Amino acid sequence: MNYFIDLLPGLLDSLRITAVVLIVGLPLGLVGGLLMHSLPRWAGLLILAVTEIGRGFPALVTLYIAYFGLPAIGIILHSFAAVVLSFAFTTACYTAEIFRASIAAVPQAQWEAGRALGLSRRIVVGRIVVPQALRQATVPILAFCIIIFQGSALAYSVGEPELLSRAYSAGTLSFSIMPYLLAASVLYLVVVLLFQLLVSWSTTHRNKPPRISANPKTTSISQ
Amino acid sequence: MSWDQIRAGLGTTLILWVGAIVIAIVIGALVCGLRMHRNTLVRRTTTVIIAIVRGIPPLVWVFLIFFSVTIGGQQLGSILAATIALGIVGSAYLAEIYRSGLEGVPPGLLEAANALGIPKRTVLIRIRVRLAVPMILAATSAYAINLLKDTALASLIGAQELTFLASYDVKNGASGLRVFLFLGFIYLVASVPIGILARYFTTRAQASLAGAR
Repeated sequence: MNYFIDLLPGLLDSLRITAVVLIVGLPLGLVGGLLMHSLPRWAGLLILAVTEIGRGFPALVTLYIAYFGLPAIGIILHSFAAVVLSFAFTTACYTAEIFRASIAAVPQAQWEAGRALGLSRRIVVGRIVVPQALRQATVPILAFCIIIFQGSALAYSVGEPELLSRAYSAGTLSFSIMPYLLAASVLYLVVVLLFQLLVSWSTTHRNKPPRISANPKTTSISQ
Repeated sequence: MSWDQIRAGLGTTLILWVGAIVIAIVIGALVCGLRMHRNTLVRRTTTVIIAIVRGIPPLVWVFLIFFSVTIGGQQLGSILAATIALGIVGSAYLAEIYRSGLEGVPPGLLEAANALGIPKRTVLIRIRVRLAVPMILAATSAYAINLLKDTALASLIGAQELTFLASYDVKNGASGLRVFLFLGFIYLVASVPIGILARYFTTRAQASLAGAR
């Protein structure tokens, strides 16, 4: 149907927004979660305060701050940049809490064993703790990715030509908005459901994580 | 923003929020009942419907309800449309919350109750639901906090709630940074009471889980 074809550029834009937001926001969230977990009290609390603000503000309001607020201090952003910046910040704040919880869920014994084996703190964190934490965090993070894609619809409010924007524009131009809204809804649904299928497919085909266990053939107790 | 504006906007925001929550709680319970029905067709259809409702972004739902429903030639008011839309989305999410709460009850307990000859309806209400309540309350109050922030979406169809009034101020020349930062903190502060409630319910839920073991 024509309606879908008209909306495809919008879908592409929404996907682009989602991709950039996740690429920027998730690593930031991971760093935030790590810092919250391992920094001394006052620093961790500072980061917590920032994440509470990032999570406490509606995403729309954060977007407005980036788009309408920053010009007051001289930073004028294009709509795409404002969307990406504000949503990446929101993402980082939400995922920092997810990562912090998943890092805390890794048994302390892992950390202690790593240090006892003489591994540096960086290796223990990077090669032992974080990979296990990421395994724990996978489900909530993937759920969050879907939320971000759905959240890209908010970019309508600053005129970014993503899917909902285009549906609305095309609809008002042709005086029949419902077909476009319905087509946009279908497109959102298709992406979300495809993503969920992908996720469940990949989790069922995943191998069990290799356990850190001794292989009786290669270890020896030698004096 | 003037205090009058804040008061008016907060009032509308609260109407949107409470309206949506009530709709979500009531319809969510209904949908959950269908989702866990004996009849396979009913169950599967409900699962599909829930997936569709959750898959479409809340803002799109707001637009859909606002532009589609015309009763006797009149378009729905923006507050009503937003409340209904957020209520619909909420009911799908709450239905899943209810379901996972009910399914989280240890099956051994239910089997024991059935084995004792307790009638199924009694088992359902006085045992299963009662045991599921702590978890359901915790998850629902967490969702309520998110719902409060979602009410900001209503501003995009013209409902004169907090975000709308703040935008109006900025469009008429107020400092965007100051107004919207202030707006964000209003939402933060407004979410503190339910946040305290949510934390209370969550700790009670964790305690009841530990007790059931």
